[in-house]
Amino acid sequence: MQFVNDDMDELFRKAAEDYPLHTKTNDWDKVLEKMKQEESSAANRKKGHAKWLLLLLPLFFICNRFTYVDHDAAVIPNAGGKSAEKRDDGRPQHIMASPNNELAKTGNNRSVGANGDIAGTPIEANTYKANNALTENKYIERKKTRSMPDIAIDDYSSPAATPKPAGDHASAFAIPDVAGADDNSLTKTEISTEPESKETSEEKAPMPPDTPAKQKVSDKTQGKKAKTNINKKGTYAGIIIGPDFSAVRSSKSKGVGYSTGLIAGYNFSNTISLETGIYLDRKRYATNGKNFSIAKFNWPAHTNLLSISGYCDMIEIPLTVRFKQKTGKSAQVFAAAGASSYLMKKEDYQYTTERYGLYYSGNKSYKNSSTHLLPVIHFSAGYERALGRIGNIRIEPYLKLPVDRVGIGNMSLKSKGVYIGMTRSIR
Amino acid sequence: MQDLQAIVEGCINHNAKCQKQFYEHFYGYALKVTFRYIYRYDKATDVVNDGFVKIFKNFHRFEYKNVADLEKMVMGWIRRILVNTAIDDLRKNQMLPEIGDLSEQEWNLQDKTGGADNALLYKELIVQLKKLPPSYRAVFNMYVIDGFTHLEIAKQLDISVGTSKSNLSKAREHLKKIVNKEFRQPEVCNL
Repeated sequence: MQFVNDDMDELFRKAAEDYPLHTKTNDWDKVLEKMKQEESSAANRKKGHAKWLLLLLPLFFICNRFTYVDHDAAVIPNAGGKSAEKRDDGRPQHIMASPNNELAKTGNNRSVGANGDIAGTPIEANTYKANNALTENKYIERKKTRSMPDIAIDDYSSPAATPKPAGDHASAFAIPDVAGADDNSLTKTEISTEPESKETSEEKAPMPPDTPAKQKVSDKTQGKKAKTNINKKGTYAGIIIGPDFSAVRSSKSKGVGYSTGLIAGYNFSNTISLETGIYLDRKRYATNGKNFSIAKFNWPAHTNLLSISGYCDMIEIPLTVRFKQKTGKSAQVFAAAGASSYLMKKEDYQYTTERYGLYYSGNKSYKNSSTHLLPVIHFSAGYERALGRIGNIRIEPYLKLPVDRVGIGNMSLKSKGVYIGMTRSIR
Repeated sequence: MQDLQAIVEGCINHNAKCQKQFYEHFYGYALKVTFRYIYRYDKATDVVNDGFVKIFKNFHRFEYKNVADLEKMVMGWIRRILVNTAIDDLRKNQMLPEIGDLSEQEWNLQDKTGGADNALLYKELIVQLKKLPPSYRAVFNMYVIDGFTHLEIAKQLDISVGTSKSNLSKAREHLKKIVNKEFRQPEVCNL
């Protein structure tokens, strides 16, 4: 045997491949047992996570409580004739005229006024009497057909009458026969009634006497019950979340990533708005060596990349113009276009390489690898709906196409996915 | 053994039968890789089994394009996982040197893989490699035999690149001395 001292490395490589080791000690049962132990410990970890999620349940109920809107709350006007607001839909309240501009209260503590709304418009007493009789009759007729609330109308025949709970007066609800009454005699002070099924169904059941607390809530609701306007002019902010499917060039998507973040925008009008935000993205992808540059990998010469897969965590800053079209009172469709900047925070890869006929697998991770200004353009379209005080909810499928290469591997990265978002106007 | 591609696909789908076949087929190769890092044979078999558990758990991440190169790619992938598992075990023991001699029962000098002439030589080379301090042994194995770069070694062993190069240099020096001392053949003068 002759040794070549200057080629010791090669000698050890050959020795490593062919050294005579006793290898008949495989024990599949041991491996199987270890795999089962791993599975059971993983299952226990998941259960632990689920327990922590239960702690979020009270938060859900609290949020639900404070965002609940009491649609049954009565419109309580201010005493003293101040004009009270109408219902949200602009229809006047079912009220009775009260004399001397005094706002009489219904059995449900509803204050009433004249002119079909709760503005305290003064009326003459005699006119009141005449109108009241006819109005009562009309009310009863409408009540029979449309299930109007049990307001103790007879109590309002006298200016000095005070209201009583509706239930108490059901039997005393005696309307004089006013057959032959001429509708023309009704003045403008007649209660205008345009009941709709929605309204009557709301008032069908007699309301319990309001407690002071409930009245307060009703006051607040009345005072702050804003109209549902999906495109309030001005700034808005919100959050988005959704799955992301990314791919490099013509490669297929590998796994599901995600995108979540904050958005802020400005509604210029009902049709156009400008939006930006800051998203935290995780994009997963895989490709072969042709679509991924290894120039920055510091590998030995003649290393060929065969395949690579992994993910990148990035901060995305989009800039988007949205074009909107209302489809209903509180809904709209929109189309959007824009571009995004990427700040690559972490790239993690598993790869397979070949060098001189030997195959290697490995993994590499890079932090803060690169920043790219507007390397993708994106297009999206979606549907948005207003949810009252909560804000607007939107669903937005999107497509992002590369105009520049990104990442440590200089990839042409395209993405598609869906954003689900909530926004709220801020002024 | 069944077609390797079918076995690999079965392992990706967590088929127990395919996993067993895979394990039995590549166990010898895996043990040879691990035994270069782990001094004791029984410990090495434990590390191999741990490595296979990791392999089966992450088989869905294994990708191959060319079926013709599948076996080489699988072996490269197994090698990487087992080296990582062996290094984790060494680091758990804080790279402390092991004591005790290696048993002759661990060797199979009947193995004709590399030719009978070289079997003994290769065995002795590996024995000398295993006698290096764990930190030198790990760096030599990773760089010379398993193709890691100094950067990767430094990250894996949590040392600096400079320390990795220094350990490699010391390992080479040490092995060269032993190889020259143990295996140098006297020159024969041809008359």
